Amino acid sequence: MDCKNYQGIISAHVDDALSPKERWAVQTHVNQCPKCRQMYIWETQVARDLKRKLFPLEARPALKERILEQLGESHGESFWGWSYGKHGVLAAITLLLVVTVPYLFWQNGAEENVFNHAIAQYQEVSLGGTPTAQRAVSKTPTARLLDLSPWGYQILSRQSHWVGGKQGRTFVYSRGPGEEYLMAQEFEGMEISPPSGGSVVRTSNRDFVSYSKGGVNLVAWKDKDMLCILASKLPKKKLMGLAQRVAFPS
Amino acid sequence: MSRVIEAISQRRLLFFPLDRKKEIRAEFERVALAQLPYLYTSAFYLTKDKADAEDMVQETYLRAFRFFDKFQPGTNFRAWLLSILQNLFINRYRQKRREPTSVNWDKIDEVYESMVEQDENMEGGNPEHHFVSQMMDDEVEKALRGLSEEFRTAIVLVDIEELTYEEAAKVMESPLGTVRSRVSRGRRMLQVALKEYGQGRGPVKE
Repeated sequence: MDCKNYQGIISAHVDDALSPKERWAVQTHVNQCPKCRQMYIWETQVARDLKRKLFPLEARPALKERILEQLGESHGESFWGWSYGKHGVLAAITLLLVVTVPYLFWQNGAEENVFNHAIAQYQEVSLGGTPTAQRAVSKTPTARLLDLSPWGYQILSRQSHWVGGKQGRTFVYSRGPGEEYLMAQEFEGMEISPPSGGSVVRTSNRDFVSYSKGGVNLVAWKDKDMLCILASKLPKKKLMGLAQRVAFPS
Repeated sequence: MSRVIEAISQRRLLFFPLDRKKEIRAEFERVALAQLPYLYTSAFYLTKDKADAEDMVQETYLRAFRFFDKFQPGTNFRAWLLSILQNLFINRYRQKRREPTSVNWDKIDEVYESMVEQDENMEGGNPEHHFVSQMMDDEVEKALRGLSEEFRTAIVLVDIEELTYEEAAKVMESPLGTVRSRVSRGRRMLQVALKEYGQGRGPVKE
């Protein structure tokens, strides 16, 4: 190794981040080479002063309050494992009214309502809560078609519910901390039609409806009698790719 | 790490009874909120925007709480939180800001080596002449914000968050050698930038 190589790891030596063998090699060289010794002394001083001049920034107290409030909302539990907090109860009542009134006029544009409902539920997920569906039932369902575990997704929560007179199942998945959430919904006996602003991609004689709203992307398709929906903040192309892999698993 | 956190790692949070969850939440708040300045600091240096940093920190806490069972007791809790933050930044925020990463290394090395050499030529040498020691704290912060993302992140994780190089490598999902190189080069760039600031010019970039 020449001086250039040693100089590249002098910082790591200063921070005591080398293996014993590397440490010995660098220190031996530093002892013999005046130029590298000077750089070692210099970098020791710089590292010390950087740590002195750079320190953690203070967050606004309001941020801590926001976090505590959100943790409270995501923490409250109903008996079937869905989350709500003190504001969640009010939100749930409001949501119930919002989704019940359109239910009376369900005959037209039912699918578009399903899509918008799915997006609203996803937004609830990304705010730290879990989706609240109309007429949730207490049993914990198993996904019939939307088991995403083969694609590396872990299930975070699940719920059976009724939307627009049809039985549905909602599953929240993630591939791990920091990864985007993915919400999957199955509805038996529900038809599919592109909502206004949506588009259709036809692959292997199957229609995939793509729809976006409020930063949430959604892909829906029919599998026999089942309407399948995936909603996420994942990029559109990625979500469509996943939907097609789920729809054609072989 | 407390016994509560160890217990959490054994089972998913969802299956704990409600009173136990209250205890877990209290423990999470106690342990995790102590890291708030560190998370906010990293978020701010990543996004360079206070509002985005706050949103990112808030979401990091929610995700950390949901995935609390994934935390390995005995490992660095701050590094774990910072990994979540970093992933969130990559998935959601980085797309918004593509930063130029072109750096004139020859120029950086030339200026840096001349600084060290100049110091060496002074009688007895005097490392206090380096620009980090001469600058105000906020000038150093500003110079750090001016570094490109990969070097800025390495400096923040090692010099402010006080992670080991191995922990920083995990957070950045980069090889150890890359972290060593980024810390070394990042510090050099910072010193050259401070020298340029000191002389009333902008940082050395192509």
